[in-house]
Amino acid sequence: MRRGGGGIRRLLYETRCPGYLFMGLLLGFWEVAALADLVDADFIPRITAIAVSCGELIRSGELPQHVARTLARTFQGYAWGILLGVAVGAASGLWRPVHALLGLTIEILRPMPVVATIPIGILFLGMGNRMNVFVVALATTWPIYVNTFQGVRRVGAELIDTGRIFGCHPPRNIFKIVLPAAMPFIVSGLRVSLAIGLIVAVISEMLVSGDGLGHFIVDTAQAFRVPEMYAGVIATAAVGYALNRTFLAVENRFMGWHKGFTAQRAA
Amino acid sequence: MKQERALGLVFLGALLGAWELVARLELVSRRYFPPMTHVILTFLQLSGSLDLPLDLGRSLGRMFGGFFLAVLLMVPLGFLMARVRPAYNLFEPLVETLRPLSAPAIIPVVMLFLGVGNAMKIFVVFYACAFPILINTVDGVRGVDPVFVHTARTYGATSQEIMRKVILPAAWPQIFGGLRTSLPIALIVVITSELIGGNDGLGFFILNNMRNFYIRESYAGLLMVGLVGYGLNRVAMVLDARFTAWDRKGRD
Repeated sequence: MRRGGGGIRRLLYETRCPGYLFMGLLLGFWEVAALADLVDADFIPRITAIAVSCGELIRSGELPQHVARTLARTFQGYAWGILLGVAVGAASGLWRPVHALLGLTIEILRPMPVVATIPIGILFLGMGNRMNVFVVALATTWPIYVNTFQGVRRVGAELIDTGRIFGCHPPRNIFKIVLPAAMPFIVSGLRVSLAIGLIVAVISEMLVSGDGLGHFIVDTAQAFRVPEMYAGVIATAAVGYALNRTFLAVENRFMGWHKGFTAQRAA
Repeated sequence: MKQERALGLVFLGALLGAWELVARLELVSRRYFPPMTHVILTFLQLSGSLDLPLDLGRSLGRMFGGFFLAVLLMVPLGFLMARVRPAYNLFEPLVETLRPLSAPAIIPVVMLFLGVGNAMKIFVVFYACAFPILINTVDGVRGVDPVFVHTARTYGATSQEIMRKVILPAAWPQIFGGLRTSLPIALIVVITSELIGGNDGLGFFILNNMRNFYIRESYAGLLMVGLVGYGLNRVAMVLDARFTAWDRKGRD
């Protein structure tokens, strides 16, 4: 109280307290509105009810199981995406004829929203896991391809020439020089792709799958298990957040060198 | 350059030719894989009978509806958050909390409230576009060199003039970047929302025809989606060159 206006001013200007307070108010309002039947509690269950169902679903192992299925699909597709994206991107960046050959076709296919291919993917791959993995692979390939291509293009000739002087010839220099030098670019493609991969996995599960987070959300919505549905949505967000955080942590661990390196070069 | 373009065309042609050949020889069942020429024929027929154009119109209407709603609300909010510190502190935690919540995941929730009609789809597109637009606007406006603002103020510009003639142009390239990022996202999300809940639009067109084993029609719908994606990308590139090229030139 003694600090008076100054303290409040500092709180407003220098901290995120207003934001957390705002969020708390929103959640509190939600809880009260649901409790007092101001909103249809069938659609908007109490926050506490959602939290309870989260807890139950975690304890029963149902939610973790769906998370595991979704993650498995995401990473299977992602692995294919990395393989294809890096291979085609590097080949296109290294050899002009490859780029000339594939460039136009890729340019036409790339802006195609991958989700639209799901119905036709079902025709070929059926309703099973392969379909989900295929769609994730397709979606994750593009950003990795683009970033690898640009990264490889930017590898200076002096690096490759220096390698040659020291006896590092193709194809060995691709793995020893070109790809490591392009790595910062490739990694940013990997990060974007991971987020896309998860989203696409969830979408594909909503349309065809007997498990996974996407299936869980749609299934609970249709069965009108509304608190469980919210729990599924929250879990999806949490998984996305955790994946991104983990990626950043791994990137810092293994790619820390490039920050100093790039800064040095720029200076 | 010309040679490279030709090589690209040859490859694309060979790919389409291979498709045609594989389908004609029925190496893959024709029920799954109609010849390319049949797909194009069906595409033209459906375009002529307005089936496809109508669904295209619905999808584009929803997409741009959500997109422009996001522009209308998020660009001003971005300015506010970038220029007024308490506003930033008020909204930033909420934005960061909601950001990992991806638009497709909330489709079933929104369906509870808004049904499967236009309102649901427009809202989901709006939600998906809101984050790239907001974040780029905040970053763009915050990144404006304060010297510009101080200089303008020294020369007696009012805050309104500073906003319109200094900050907006300086932040524009990044704001535009946000719009460019969110447009393809809008297309993906509108198609997704039509696949998951709906009874018209391009996403539904593809899925429904596939379910009824109108495979050629389904492919024709996919072709239309591909054309839209390609077209949007071209338009964005042209606008990019027109409106933000000066910025890159200035920085090089």
